[in-house]
Amino acid sequence: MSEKPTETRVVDLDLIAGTLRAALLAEPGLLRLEPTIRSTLTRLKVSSSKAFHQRLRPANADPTVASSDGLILTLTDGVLNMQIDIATDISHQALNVAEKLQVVAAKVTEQSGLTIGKIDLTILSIEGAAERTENPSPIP
Amino acid sequence: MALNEERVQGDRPRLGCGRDLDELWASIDDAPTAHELICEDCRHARSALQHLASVTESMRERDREDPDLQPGQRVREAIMMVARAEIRRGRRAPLTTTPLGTIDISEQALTSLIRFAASTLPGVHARRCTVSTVSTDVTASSQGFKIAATDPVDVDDVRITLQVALASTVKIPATMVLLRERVGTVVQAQTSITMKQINIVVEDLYDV
Repeated sequence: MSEKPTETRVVDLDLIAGTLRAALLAEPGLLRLEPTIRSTLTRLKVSSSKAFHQRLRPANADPTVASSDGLILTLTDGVLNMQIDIATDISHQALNVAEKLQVVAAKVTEQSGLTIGKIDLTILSIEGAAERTENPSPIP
Repeated sequence: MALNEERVQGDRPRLGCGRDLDELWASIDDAPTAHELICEDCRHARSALQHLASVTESMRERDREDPDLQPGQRVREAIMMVARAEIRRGRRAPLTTTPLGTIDISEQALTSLIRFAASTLPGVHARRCTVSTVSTDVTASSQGFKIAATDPVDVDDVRITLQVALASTVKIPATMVLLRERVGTVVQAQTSITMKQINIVVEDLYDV
């Protein structure tokens, strides 16, 4: 029998989702992460199966899903894929904001020690900034 | 209610007179038939079922008004927020694919942006806006099928039709030029989409 210890990395996807959410919302131009039926149903499905599956699990286990409003994270074999649904502030270029958010999401993934998979992003709304006005950088 | 044990066939209970109880229930809101007027079993069953129906209705009514069974304000708001966001999804227009993944915009977000851009011009009230792409639309109509809600918008061939109401004081031709310019500029700046065609329908004039 080999004496070599096996290395098991533990990933808490909910924690990563929380960190990612905070990092995204700190980015100027993002008004909010948009909840959708898909993200809501995923969250319900995940929370109902929590009673049967421990969320702290090895990073190389089967796909694990974490979801909050506008955010669906899927972890497969250490690779993190995500779908982000957003509403942006009209005083910022929506496409530019979306590209910056992809970079933010990639950084958070990297910092959590996971491999970056696909970061798909959908702009669901472009609105006047009634909710958030800090750090405005108007369209040139 | 007299049920005939011997006449229960395939789990369908029957009355003493042989009548199927489900049939009687199905016609409970109708006037009694000639048989039901004279048959003691049917009369008794109708009366009992009517009582059951009224009790059920009253319990349902009470549940509707019971404050303990009402969704909380937060639940209601969350449901409405999800519903609104879901409507905004609709068809999507792929904007770009970066090394990290895809970025797209929903058709609804695009049309809202167009209406917003139009309404920034004095004397213009934007109304309905539709997005079409000739290549997919023509193919779809020639082949006799409708475009599915999930078919992506072709961003290289975006054509819009915008319906507006104008103030009666504005000069229509000059306003149309400004409107096309404003809508095109805003959409380009926000999404990088260069629209192929901007059709404008002035469907109303309003007094100022």
